[in-house]
Amino acid sequence: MPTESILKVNHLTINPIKQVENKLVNDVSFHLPKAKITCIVGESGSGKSLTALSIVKLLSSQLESSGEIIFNQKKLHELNDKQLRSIRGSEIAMIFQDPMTSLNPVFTVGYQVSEAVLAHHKLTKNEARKVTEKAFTDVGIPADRYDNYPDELSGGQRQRVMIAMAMINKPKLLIADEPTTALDVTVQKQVLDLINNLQKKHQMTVLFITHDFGVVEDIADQVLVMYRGKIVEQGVAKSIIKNPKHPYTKALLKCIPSIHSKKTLQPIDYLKLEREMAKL
Amino acid sequence: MYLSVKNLSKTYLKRSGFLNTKTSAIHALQDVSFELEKGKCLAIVGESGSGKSTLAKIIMKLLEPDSGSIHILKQDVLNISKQKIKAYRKKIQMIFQDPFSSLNPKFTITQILAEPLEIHKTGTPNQIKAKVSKFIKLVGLSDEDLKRYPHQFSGGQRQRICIARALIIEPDIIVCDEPVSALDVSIQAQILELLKELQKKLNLTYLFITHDLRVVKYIADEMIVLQNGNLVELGAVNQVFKNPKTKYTQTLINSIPGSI
Repeated sequence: MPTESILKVNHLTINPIKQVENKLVNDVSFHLPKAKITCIVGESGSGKSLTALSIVKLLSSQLESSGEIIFNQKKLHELNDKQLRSIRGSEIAMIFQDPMTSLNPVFTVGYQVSEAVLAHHKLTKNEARKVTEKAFTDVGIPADRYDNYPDELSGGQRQRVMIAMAMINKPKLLIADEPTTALDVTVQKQVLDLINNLQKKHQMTVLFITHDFGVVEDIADQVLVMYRGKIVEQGVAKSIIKNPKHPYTKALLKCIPSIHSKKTLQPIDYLKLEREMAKL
Repeated sequence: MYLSVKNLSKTYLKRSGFLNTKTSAIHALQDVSFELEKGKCLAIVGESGSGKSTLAKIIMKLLEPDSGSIHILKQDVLNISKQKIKAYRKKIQMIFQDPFSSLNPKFTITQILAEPLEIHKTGTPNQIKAKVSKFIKLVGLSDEDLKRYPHQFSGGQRQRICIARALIIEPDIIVCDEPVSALDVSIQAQILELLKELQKKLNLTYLFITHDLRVVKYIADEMIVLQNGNLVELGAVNQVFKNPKTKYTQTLINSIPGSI
């Protein structure tokens, strides 16, 4: 691809400690083009979240990973914890699926977001508050929500707070792990539009994890389809949705109900799928 | 009409302020009416807080409404005597959203499926055993699975077990409260297919609560849309999609991701 890539993942393999045979992610390589949205699509257990977590080395201590992760010429897999901490939250930020559990209930949302500013910048508390309030208005939350606790906000607003927190240090790469799965459709649409707008405005690279091809169609430039720890198909999102090549991608597209036709859904027949894949 | 709901209203009181002295009213349902024929599927659509679960709970008789009436055939559901309530519960069953928290982890699948039959005293132990075995196969699992515990199953399999448990006492109406929204798309397709097939086979009436209009289009015949406790749309699914009466329904349709 002609566009410059910001992140390269080479031969990433993840397995539980001492179980080398049990590969949860198996020799995955991809790169993220700069200032584009890339989606990873797959079912639960396909390794999509593990792949994303391993980029910033947030894997559980029960898992070990091998392979190269190169972000802006920096070899992330060789950095120590302290060096990683300076990258996490500033150059690479993350949003998680469940906005209910990713905020601490005993601190105000404003305090929690300003913490992210203070961790990476030398500012006074008042200055940090100003920056935070600005970030809140950028994601569509009134600045006076600063002193509210998480339980005083709705799910959509909480996810906006998470986005504000992720965006506040102007990251070059945003990793979003199913950020809209727990939300209502209308709120999902608003959050997707917000991520889309922020991405365009800041020319940010986004790695977006989802299991919904509808969401992929709405926001993705590039798509990676994962199945059982491997990338089975990758390329330009629009053309893959229109013309899937791999049997798994085809099967996955067939099980999404459509509002335009009353087609019968075809649940994935895994035995048949394995047979077709063996032929490839 | 098989099921008819008339002018249903429910208000929750919220207490706040010093020593909970201030009360404010939340209108969870306001004057909701609709009707449904036997063997059809009605989708109840709305966002969080729209009152769709309150409606389901009232129909299940888990909650008393402030006013209104529900009739199934000619039976007045809200004024059923205490003696007859068990018989009513036999007619109407529920499938919940989260298959991880709606099965008792200490029960085997046999115990889970036999419990409703024992409660309703529907037969001898041998008859119960035969029925459990019949219904586990009906939802696509096998006799082998009966000895196992819920944690040994995946989300989709657990939802199948929940469906078998709801169906085993042969109810007429199933209230499905977001039965597929916690599942992956591929598993979602399996469960939707299963629900549709069972509906045909057993002539079931579904009340299907969901916020995903793609699912509505797939499974439902009729739909209602709730917004803040008010019924804002009612009609046949195709009609509503083609020609929504309110702006809110249009917004919901426009929010569906993608165009696949």
